[in-house]
Amino acid sequence: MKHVLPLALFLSFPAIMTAQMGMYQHGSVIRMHMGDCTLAHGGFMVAFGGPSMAVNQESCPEYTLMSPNVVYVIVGKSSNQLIPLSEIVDFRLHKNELAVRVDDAKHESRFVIKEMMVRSEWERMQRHIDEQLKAAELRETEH
Amino acid sequence: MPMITISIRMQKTLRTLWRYCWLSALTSVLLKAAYPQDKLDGHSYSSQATPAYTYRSGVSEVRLLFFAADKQNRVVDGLKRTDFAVLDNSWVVRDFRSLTRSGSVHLDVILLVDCSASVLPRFDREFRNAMNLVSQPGWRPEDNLSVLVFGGREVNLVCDGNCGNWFTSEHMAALPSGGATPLFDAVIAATDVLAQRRQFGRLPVIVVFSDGNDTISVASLHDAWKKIVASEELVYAVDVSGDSENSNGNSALRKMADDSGGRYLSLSEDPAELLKGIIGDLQSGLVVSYSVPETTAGFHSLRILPTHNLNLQFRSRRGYFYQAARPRQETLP
Repeated sequence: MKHVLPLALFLSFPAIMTAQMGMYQHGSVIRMHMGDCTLAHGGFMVAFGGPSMAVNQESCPEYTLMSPNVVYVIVGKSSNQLIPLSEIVDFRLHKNELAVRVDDAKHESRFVIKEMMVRSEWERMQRHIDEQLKAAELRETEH
Repeated sequence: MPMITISIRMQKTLRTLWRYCWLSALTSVLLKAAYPQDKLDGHSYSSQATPAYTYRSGVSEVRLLFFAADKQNRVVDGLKRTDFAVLDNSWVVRDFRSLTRSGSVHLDVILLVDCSASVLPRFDREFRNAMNLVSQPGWRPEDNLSVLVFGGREVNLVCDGNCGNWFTSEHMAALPSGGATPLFDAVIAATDVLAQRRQFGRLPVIVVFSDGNDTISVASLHDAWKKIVASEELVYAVDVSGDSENSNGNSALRKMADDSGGRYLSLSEDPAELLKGIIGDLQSGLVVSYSVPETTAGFHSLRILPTHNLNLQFRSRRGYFYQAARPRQETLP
């Protein structure tokens, strides 16, 4: 009886791992820049709370993560919260945050979700921006 | 009977005539389609009839020299394409056209030696360090080495080309010394010299020996920085002031060096090791090429980040200026 519990845990370990792996969605980081930390530190109230709120000068990494159906814009909570820019990133949604599995490591890195957009809509918007940029470029070169 | 024969003959003639008319009409339509009027008239193209063609040309490939090191700042060997990604104007680029070592590239180096009054007490040491740098065994005969000195209001290219043996005590004694420091003008002059003899496969490098305290230049630090970024030259700044604290001089040198992908070095550290480091650095670089992910004209920021191993550190220039495709109107001869 004494050995039953560890044995059961040992036997169920692969199943637990598989279940946890199954929770992850896959995506790819397509953009990254250092941006404002306000949203990551204080959330909505700090971001839109007006000038009385403390202004933070630190810059935080902002990633655009593209999954098959949704495009997320996520913000790190500190300047050194970096995720490797590998082709495929495993992530899951957890309590209004996005948890990214860092390069097969056991730990996750949690990010604040700044924006979410349906992928087709995001692509349509990008095409529109590209067209506008090209048109502006054309006007500039022709003058 | 003869009447009947005539009418039959007439019918036959009319049919033959009709066939000829029909055939000639068809032939004329076909001829017009095959040979337009201007060809048939003068057997040549008329410039008025032929529209002028507008085509656009532009560079869409970025070639980026970079250096990879581990957390202890040791050079990383055997770096693969999948180990890093380039951030070009914040877009992640993982699809590279090529990845080669810079060791096979020949160098075109200009040594910028500050002869102004502010470095006069340390000028002997500065000159000897420049001499040590050119006598390092890492240089190859194909590498181009020139010397440009600045002090007072003057910027002079005192040796152009193969200057490995130029650093002698006679030359040192003959140099004008003292006066103000036109550092930024000298940097711009060096970029101009390098730009004039730019060749594919030759890496332009500027090594500045100075305290960084510009006192008289017409150009500003921003002008010099812009010129360095636009010309894609690598700057190594050797701070001869010996100040370990931050000053305007060393932050100017640091800015020019860091943003070009080069290094800021202080002679307060071991000079022999530092100079050896420059040569080692130039031979350990990697060159990656990729197509521009966003064709927005102007400054494109650059950064290299790891894809797997977060202990990897990368150094490269901080950006480049992208020029949009220029339309050109030409008429066929």
